[in-house]
Amino acid sequence: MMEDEINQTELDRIAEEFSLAIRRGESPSIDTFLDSYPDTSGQLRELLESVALIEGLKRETGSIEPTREPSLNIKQLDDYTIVREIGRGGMGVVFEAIHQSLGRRVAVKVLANHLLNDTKHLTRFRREARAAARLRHSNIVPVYGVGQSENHHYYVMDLIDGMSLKDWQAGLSDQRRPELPTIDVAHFNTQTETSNSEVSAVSDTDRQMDAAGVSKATPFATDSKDYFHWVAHLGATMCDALQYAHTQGVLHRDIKPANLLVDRKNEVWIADFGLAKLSEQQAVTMTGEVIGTPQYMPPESFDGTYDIKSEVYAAGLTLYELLALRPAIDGKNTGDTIRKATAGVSISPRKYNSSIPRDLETIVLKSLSHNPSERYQSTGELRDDLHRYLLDRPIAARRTGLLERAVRWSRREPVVASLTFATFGLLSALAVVSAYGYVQTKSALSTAEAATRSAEQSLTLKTDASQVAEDQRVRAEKNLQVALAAFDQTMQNITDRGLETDADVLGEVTDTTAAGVTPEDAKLLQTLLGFFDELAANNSEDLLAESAVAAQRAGDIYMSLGKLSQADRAYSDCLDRYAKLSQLESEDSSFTISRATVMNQLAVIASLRGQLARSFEMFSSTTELLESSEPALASHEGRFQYARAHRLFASLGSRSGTDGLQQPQGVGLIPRRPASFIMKLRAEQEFESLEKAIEVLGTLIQESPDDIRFQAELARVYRDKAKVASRAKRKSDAEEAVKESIDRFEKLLSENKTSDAVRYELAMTLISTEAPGFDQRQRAARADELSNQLLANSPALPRYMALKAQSLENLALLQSRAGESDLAVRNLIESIQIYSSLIAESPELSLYETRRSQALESVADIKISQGKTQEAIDFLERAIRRLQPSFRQPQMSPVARMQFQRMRQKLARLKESQ
Amino acid sequence: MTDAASEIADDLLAEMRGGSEEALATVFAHYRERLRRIVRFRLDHRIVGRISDSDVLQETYIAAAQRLEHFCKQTEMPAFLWLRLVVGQQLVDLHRQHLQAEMRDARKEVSLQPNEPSPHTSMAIAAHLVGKMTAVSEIVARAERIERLESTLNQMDDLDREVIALRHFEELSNVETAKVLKIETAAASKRYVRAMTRLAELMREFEQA
Repeated sequence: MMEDEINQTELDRIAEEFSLAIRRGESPSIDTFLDSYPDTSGQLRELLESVALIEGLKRETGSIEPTREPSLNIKQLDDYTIVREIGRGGMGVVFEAIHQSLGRRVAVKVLANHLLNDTKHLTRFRREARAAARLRHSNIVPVYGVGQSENHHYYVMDLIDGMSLKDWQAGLSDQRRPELPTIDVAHFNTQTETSNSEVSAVSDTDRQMDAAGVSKATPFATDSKDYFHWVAHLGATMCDALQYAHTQGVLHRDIKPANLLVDRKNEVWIADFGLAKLSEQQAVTMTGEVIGTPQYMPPESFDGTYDIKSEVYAAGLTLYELLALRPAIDGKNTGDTIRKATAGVSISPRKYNSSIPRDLETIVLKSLSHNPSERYQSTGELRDDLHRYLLDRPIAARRTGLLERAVRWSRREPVVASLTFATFGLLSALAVVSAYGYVQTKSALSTAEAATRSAEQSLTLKTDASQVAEDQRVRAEKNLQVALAAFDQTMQNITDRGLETDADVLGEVTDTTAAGVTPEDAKLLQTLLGFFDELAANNSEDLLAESAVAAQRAGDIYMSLGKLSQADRAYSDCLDRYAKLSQLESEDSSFTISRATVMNQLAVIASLRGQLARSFEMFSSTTELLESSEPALASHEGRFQYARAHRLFASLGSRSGTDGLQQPQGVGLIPRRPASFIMKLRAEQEFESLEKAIEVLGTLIQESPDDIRFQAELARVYRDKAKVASRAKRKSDAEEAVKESIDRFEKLLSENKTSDAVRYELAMTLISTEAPGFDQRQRAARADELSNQLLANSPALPRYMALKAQSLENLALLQSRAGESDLAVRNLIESIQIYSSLIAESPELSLYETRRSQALESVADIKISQGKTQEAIDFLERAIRRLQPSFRQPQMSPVARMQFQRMRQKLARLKESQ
Repeated sequence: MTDAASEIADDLLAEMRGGSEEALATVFAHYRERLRRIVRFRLDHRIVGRISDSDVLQETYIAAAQRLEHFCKQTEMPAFLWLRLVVGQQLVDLHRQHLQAEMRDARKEVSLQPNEPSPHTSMAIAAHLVGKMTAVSEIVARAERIERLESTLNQMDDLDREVIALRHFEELSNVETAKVLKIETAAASKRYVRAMTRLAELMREFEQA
């Protein structure tokens, strides 16, 4: 008994010795210790192992503040007289100080000695601090430099009269203790009005007053529109400062709310440039020391990668936190935090605050993409998208929300959690392979499909019949996830190839054909659209917004491919969903605007297909819809769509190719309703509509002079005005409008020299047949030049080919008038060839058929004037033969019907004369 | 660390026991870092952002000065352990004050294993891990190890856990631990060895599970 107790005491003594050795920083080996003591019962080894474990853990989780803090009685550091301590953090203590020579108040951060106990690190720190000191930006806390006084290394920066966002937020969320923390991280710099003369310590009450001063500058509720604007503005400012620093080759490396100060003027400041690097360098050699908080570390930084895109992520985390009023990454314990930080952000901020605008959320989530290449590629890009959001312009980021959806779903469906893993795997497989190109993406997609199916099958086996309905919902949701991921990847591929889509650049999906899509894109997208079709059955409300967006994108693609009836169907589906969404969230005007956007697209399709009645109907409902929603009409986007609707209405005739139609002929051939509508589209009404569009766009341009879409739309309005004026035989009006449109587009092009979209629009005005007397030769030459440039940039693009064909026709017309018949015929034949290939690619575009027939007829006319009757007959027969199949279809445009009739008559006369 | 007490001159202790605040200041400065360790260890993560450990120490000093006469009466009590008691009282008050809504018994919360680690803990771990540029899998594994230890400790008997806390987190000597727990030093040793052995067992079970 006694022996046992002595034994225990001895064991304890050895353990204590062992502990002390570890605490002294030695790395004692258990074996060595065991050698010097006979291990009485194997218990000693066990004991020492436990000690090693616990002391080891403690060192890993060890103290983060310097154990040897700068002594509190520092009074003077070189030329700086310390006034008071204003905060402390991981790297040292911050004092308010007065620079004696300049009489200026500054913040001095005295660094913990142990951070700089190595010459190499000291040199590095000084170099970093010098780089930081070179930064000159209105939102970066100026760094004055570093110094060393006795044993203290210090870092001098400007004293900002404000508080960190961390403190600001803490004050917001702490209901019970509305006053702000009295001590906080190093960057908490407060300053009282009077303390210039007072060198005494500042009481807590004063600090609280300071805090209140800042709080007053942001008086809005954290779910108000003003608040979200403030956050976006703050984010844009922060990104601008970061972008600047990046161009100077300086990374911040520790962006987080605690490092962002807001001053009394509500300006944001980034603090501590050049310091994070220091601790990171230290971390390599010293264990247990501080670097950024894992909560604010991008996933890739755990692998030792940190670059500009990591700063985008960190900026995104800060924005997330400001929106959701909670950190994006917040583990329930140590391991959890790190796991979550490495896994990335998976919960949408809207989950915490449903009034966060979707666009803003989309921007934040894009910055927080786990894969750095899917983020904004620079803080400048993030800033620009935030500006777009602030200006109510469409943002560049596309909604995905996939991860969140998947995670949310897996929480709801623990039974089928394995399925979620499968989905995750597929998504990442997609992300990886798509980098290698389409073939791989496509095969990944089919693999994804197959794997999804087999997962579904096993799921079906596991569940009862009663769950079938649920399974279907789950399947739909899962398919949507896969499809959206692949879709976004494809759209990204398109963007990466540098092709601009018109919808993004000029606010309109092209009204002729094909944005920047190639046949390869088309094939892949076609495959993907199958997924979207599958979703038609899905009525899940929380996926409604996603499926609406999916349908809209499907419509955009079909439209780009010239598949008008499919586009029509997709847009109509999309419209239903947006209508349902506006019912569900009636206060959200963004759905109203989305509806208007889609309805305008439907109107364009209807007019392209010659369905004037439907087109007219769309116009009326679009304008009614927008007029009934005050917030929609108050927004830029809503007004833009309103102006578009008015222009589309006025250009119904010209768009559908019916503008040449003077009066209905051959009663049986022309559908009655459209004809009567055409008659109703009186020039006066159209002018009125165009004037309205001009008025609305005028104010939009005034408010956002930099938004190229508004300017382009206005120039388009003038182009259409010329058409209406020309039809109304108001020659001078037409000429004036054409001139206005050309001038506006030329100006726009000179400001956006690389924009093919603007180049294209300009060419479209130049080749319009209105105001023929105005500069015709020059216009034709310029249009041909532009179409050649466009084709040189993107040879396979249908819309540019169509432009070239039209330009050739234009030239031919002038040449034929000048008597250069052979040249004219050659150009016409070339344009016919172009049209033929276009029709082969997109058989639904009636416009091309009409144009091709027109070109064929023009050749025939030239042949007639040359007396070559047989050749003329051949061409006319060809033209008729080509139109024949369309003629049997009810949706053939009236103008094509008329043309068809006219050519048949002409042919009959020719044959007769022969 | 354990030798620290002996470094204090007896006459200084006598002065302190005699009620000299100047002596208290010197003794307090001497133990400052050890006391800070206790504060850091015991301070709930939820109030870490609101109060710094220097604040707690400052308040502890004021409280110690006010209650110096209590120390004078307790002739058996080593100065360090007495200061530790004062720190503990300060912490209980602070927790009560800050976390009133969230807890009924503040004393209970001031325990070895807070439910959640302080953000500082995570920060230091991450710093360490990142410093070594380890792979993600390794980081997760390590985080799991820490988690495992935490939950193992939570499984243990209250007194065993307290012994480990005192010995390893507050870095008290066996003699001090015995005094704090009001038991004989031999019993304290026994308790300690038993607790550590039990920990080793639990960790093994964990690894096997």
